[in-house]
Amino acid sequence: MWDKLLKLIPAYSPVVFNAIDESGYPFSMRCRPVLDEKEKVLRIPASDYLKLQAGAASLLCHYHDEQLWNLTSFVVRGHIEIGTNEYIFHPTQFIDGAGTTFKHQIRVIQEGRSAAKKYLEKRGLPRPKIPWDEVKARYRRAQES
Amino acid sequence: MSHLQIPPEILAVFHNFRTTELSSIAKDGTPITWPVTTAFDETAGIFIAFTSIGLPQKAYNMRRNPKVSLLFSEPKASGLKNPPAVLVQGDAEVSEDITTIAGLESVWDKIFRFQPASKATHGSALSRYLMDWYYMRLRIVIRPKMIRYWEDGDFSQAPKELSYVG
Repeated sequence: MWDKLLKLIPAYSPVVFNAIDESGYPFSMRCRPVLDEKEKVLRIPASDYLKLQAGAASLLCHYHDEQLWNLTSFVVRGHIEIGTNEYIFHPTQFIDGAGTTFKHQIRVIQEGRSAAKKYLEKRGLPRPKIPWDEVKARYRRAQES
Repeated sequence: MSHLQIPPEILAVFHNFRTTELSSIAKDGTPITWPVTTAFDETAGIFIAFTSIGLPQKAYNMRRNPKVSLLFSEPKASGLKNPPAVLVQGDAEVSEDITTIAGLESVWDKIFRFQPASKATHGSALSRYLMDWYYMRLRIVIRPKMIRYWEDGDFSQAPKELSYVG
């Protein structure tokens, strides 16, 4: 995973850094982590105003173009420790998200269909019928507006 | 929230940013964040979002722990010049009902307007067969508790606190 982060994090910076604040709510901000190759951690500058809890945290990297297309994204799960004027992020898991390759798109369709089937089966629900004419009409109106 | 005065520059962010980074809290306490599109209902003072039952993890997280946040930090294509970055923390409620359009009109209108290529998810018989799960949606309502913003998106400075609803 580390080699992947070395390549991808600079390309997506500033990335979205997510932790839990003193109120127990998620807190997110943009930052440019420094990749510490020796320790295999990411060092995130800590401003005085930040009141984040040590522990579980994550990074989100994502991209879209001007037409909200060509979407790419991934999440890095990990935890933070509080250092001197910095948060030290220890990455533990890479979670792939959106992607533009054919392989990515096939995976999204397969996983989406499978998860939806399980969701319905678990609750004993019939597969909902999609009102396609309404969807298409709404799309057309939005594009014309 | 509906009685609170939200400055126009913040409303412009809510209405024009293409995405917001939505965080929910996983079972092990990790904030997991993905980009989504939301609609802000100014009258009710709530955000409307949704997720497909084909991607239900954020709904599971919110049902377990309603604490969420929305970070508006990607101004691309918004048409806004030097907009602030805005963080909304609040409580989410996820509908049990599966719907496609009803109650979600404002979100679909934004997505279909902002994302012309979204036609790929419904434009052919094959896509309608493969992607029907994409349109099986759970409605998410987010009631803001705290709003902070950073002028010019400068996170090195302390944010301004817009409001707090206890």
